[in-house]
Amino acid sequence: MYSSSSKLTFRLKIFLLLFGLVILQMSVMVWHFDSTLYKSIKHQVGTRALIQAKEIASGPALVEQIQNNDLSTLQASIDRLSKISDASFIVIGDKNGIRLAHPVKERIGLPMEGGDNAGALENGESYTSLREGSLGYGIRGKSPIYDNNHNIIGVVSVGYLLNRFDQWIEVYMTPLLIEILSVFILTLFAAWGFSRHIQNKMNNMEPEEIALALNLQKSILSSVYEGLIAIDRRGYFLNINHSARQLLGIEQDITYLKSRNIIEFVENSEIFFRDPLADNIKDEMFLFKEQYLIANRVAIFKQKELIGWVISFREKSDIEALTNELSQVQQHTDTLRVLRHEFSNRLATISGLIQMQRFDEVQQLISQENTSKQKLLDFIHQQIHLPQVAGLLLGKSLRAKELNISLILDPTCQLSPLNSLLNETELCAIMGNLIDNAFDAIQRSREGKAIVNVLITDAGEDLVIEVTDNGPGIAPDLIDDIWTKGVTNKADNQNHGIGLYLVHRYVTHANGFVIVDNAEPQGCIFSVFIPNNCKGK
Amino acid sequence: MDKIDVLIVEDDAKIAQTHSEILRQTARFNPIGIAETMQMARTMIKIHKPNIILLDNYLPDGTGIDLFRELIADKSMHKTNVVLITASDEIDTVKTAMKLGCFDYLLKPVSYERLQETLNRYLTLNTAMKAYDNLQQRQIDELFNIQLRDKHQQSLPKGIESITLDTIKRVFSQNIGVRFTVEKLVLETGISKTTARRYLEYCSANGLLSAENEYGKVGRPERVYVKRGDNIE
Repeated sequence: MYSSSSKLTFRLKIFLLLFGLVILQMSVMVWHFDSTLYKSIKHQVGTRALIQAKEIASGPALVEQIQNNDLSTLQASIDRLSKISDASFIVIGDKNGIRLAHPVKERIGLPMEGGDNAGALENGESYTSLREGSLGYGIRGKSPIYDNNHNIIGVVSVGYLLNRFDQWIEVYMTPLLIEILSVFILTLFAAWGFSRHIQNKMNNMEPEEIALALNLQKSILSSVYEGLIAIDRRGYFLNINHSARQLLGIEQDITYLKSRNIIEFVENSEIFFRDPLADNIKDEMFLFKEQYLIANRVAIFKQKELIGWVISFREKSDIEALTNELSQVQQHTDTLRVLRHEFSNRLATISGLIQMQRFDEVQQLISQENTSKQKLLDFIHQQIHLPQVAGLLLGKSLRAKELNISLILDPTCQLSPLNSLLNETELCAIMGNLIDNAFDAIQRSREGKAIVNVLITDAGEDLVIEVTDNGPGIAPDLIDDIWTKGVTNKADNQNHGIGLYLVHRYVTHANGFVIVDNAEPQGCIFSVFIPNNCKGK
Repeated sequence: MDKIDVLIVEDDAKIAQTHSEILRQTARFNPIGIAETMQMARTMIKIHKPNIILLDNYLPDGTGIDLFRELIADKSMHKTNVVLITASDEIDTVKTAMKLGCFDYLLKPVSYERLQETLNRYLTLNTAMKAYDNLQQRQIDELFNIQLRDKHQQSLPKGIESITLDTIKRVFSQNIGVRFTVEKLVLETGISKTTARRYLEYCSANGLLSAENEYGKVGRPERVYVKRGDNIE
């Protein structure tokens, strides 16, 4: 899926980053502490060495012993001092830097090593120095020895070897190192836990996967033809796609919408918040700004807790067009088969008639089918002078033929350009819905011949439309309700969908009215009357 | 009198010939040419500027309805009346053409009588059009209506039988001032509701009755028909 170049998972990266950072910090701290400690010990030890060197150098006994060159007494007193002191060595040298006393007896009489006597022997200074001596690397305190005449007669060197330092540092560092180790282990666990927490928050996805999912979501949202809206439990927008924005006429973008509630935009938001909240809703119609939308609602859960819904919807006419198209393909196939059959029959008849030389009958037969259609065409063309309505009636006549329904246009039909509050498109919607409704009604009960009568006339002051079918009719207790929007529940009110609601709406808008009546012996009659004498329109 | 130029657009030579002969039988019409393709038709329309085009929908290089659309869209083109001829299973095309507004629509095979009828209608309209200048489609429509309605008044229109009309007239004459709904008339006469509505609307349109809309009960309006003193006897 995502690039395999980074073998490390995101979680491991987070873990390593956190862990590495803590290790680095601790290393810096330890190094700093170590070097400070070392410096401080060096300073202390140096001072100690210097003080001891000064004390020893100022001893009058020592001066006397050197002046008298009493080396064995000198050695004995130095040995005694060495035992008391914690210094690694105490060395006495004469004014030329030749050892007079030294912890190693064999080296007495040899020059002192380190080359750091000059300051004491020549300038009479006391100081510390860090040098490599015959006993090893160490810090030394140097102090000159004066006789009573203030002449430099020798030098005292008190030294601490560095391996001593290490012991002290170890003593100070051990507790620190134990602490650091525990911090290290704690960090290990914390980093591991934290990275797991983050990964869980990201649904166990890698950042690349999340980016991909996000892009995917974006492109899916924008590519689907359906309108999609995601809202949270309170109705606040989580996401919305372009189609939804178009269908609902929302112009603001999602960053603005995120702080907005769906009810500010959709007046009929019942479908969004219907109980039971956790249930999904499928293929349901709802009215929005005079267009019917078919909506689905799917609940979104986060670990069994309802956090919101996704609502998808599209225009009813879209779905209708699609289903119609599908069913028409089937019908076309059937019609073609029937046509082919009829055609070969007719050819056989014609050929028979020609052989019998009955030419008039041939002529009649050929023009028979054609004339009925031509007559329909002529009738509509001559009576209906609104092109859209004429087209609609023609289309419905054909549709009726396909459905094996005879659609009879009343011979007194006539229609001129409208003089009403109603426009031609609305008139078409009224007629189309009434006729479709009649077709539907008839198809639900197929007994005998199916007939639909259509009358439309503007001869009088009112525009009169009457559509009659011989279907099962309407139960008397339903008659009052069919105009109301009993459409949301398709299942128990299948016969009168939104079509009639629209019809009623358009008609009422144009100051007209609709009445519905039962036809005899069966079926129902829808009659529409709309004022058609508006002045100045 | 001016000759009326007719262009025949038809790819089948035999059918074109037949059309041409039918046209020649009427002295007024002059078939100026036969175009077998859309391309030819375009050229001939530009050159000859025909008054009428008999336009077959099925052409080797396109459809007649598309050519018609071009004619409407192209402002520079000569405005001409189109009679669209289609096969009988192409009613959808006619539906489209109706919205565009052809002069007439004929289904194949075109019968001699029907074509004559179209030509006669053109002559009538043409004469009327000469009377007014620059008639618009809407006015033409009204012209059509006037003709139709004139015819209605002279004799009863199709669908209105004198026996039934007389029955209804009699019922209303006996009940002057009484308000009839369709149901009531059906009870009285025994005709069907659909038929009753047709006659009642016919009568009210022609002043025999007055139609009134009653909004008595809320949500249940009614249309009633009544004969008053001032209605035509």
